[in-house]
Amino acid sequence: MPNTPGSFIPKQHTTGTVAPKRAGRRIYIFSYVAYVLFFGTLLSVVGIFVLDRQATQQLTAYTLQLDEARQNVSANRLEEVRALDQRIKTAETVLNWHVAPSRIFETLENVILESVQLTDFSYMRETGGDATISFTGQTGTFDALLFQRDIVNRSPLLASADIVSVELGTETSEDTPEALTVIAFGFENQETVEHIGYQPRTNLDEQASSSFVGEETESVTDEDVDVSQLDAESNDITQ
Amino acid sequence: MGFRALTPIILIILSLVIVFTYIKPTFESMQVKQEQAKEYQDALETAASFNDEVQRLLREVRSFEPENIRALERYVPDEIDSVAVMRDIDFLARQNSLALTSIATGGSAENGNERSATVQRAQIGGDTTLPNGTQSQSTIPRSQSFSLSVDGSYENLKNFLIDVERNAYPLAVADLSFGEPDEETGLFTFSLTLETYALNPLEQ
Repeated sequence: MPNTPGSFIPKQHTTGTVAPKRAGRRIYIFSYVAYVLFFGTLLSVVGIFVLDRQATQQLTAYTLQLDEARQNVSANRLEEVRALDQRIKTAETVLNWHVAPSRIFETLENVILESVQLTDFSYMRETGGDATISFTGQTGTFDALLFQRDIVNRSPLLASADIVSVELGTETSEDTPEALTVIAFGFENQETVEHIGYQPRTNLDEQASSSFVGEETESVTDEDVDVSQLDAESNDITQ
Repeated sequence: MGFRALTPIILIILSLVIVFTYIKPTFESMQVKQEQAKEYQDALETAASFNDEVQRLLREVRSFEPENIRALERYVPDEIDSVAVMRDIDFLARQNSLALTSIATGGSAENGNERSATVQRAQIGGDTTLPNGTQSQSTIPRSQSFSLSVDGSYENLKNFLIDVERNAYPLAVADLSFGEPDEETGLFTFSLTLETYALNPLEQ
């Protein structure tokens, strides 16, 4: 190594590295993280603000649409539909209750024997409920009454009819001074409605019905009745 | 050196303050709004389908023939005109050669009273039951009864009943009784109770 003239201090090599201060580097990373966190927070604020505004606008829009939809439903129109629906359903109820009591007389005409005379008839029905038929009559013998009960019970309409009263007595009249034995009886039938449901009558039915007026009808007799054939000739209960 | 070291700490504290004072409450409030918006959207869809159904029903209502609507209104009227019903009964009796000797309005049964309850118990069928098995009160009609007495023959009574059964509005026979005919005239005296029905007021 050459020496510089005039200097008594020996020269030294000046090459080498200086170690960086570690404390300064730590501060830089921490700052970096803090800045990222802060700017991230600011971005979140902007994002949240925009999203919140959008949600508010959407909610307002839905509220308006809902009000509009509510206004579109006209209460009067809805009432019109409801009223008609109620009327139809009520009509269905009434139709389901509708029965034809006139059928009872047609059945009675078919099942009452010539030797039996009806004296009273009653039909009672609660609104929409079942009906009770009761009729009382007179006959001359117990055999006739038993036979009558047998025939009555073979009719689908009067199948549940029961004799509810029987009384033996005598009766006299101007024509027959001798006392006649009379058996008074009463029938009652409760399960009636299902057999007298209304069915529109055909013209033939109407003609048959009206043909009773003023016409002689052939009566059912104890002898010739066929109990298996209940569509026997009609017998007017007015006899 | 001192300020440079404090800046990150201040920024972090500021971030935390912003998160807890603005971001968190606003985010929660936004979530509530979004939930509400979803509910409103569902309600809108329901309203749309409801409106469609109402429109469909209205079209159906308007497709009915006016004549049929009138017949239905006659069959189940809003109110019972007792005088008009009595006039009709009198007409039917005269048409069938029966002499109307007396007629009077009987009891009327409103919805919800004892008689209607009986009606419900005695219901014999039909489509008026609700899905839960009960019958809608508004579809049970109000009834008005008429007690009358007519004189005539048995055949005339039968024809009268046939006409009553096919009347334009229901005239249900609630009670019918008669005994033996009069010895002199040969005519019967028939006691009848007829019932007719009207619509019950709509439930609100």
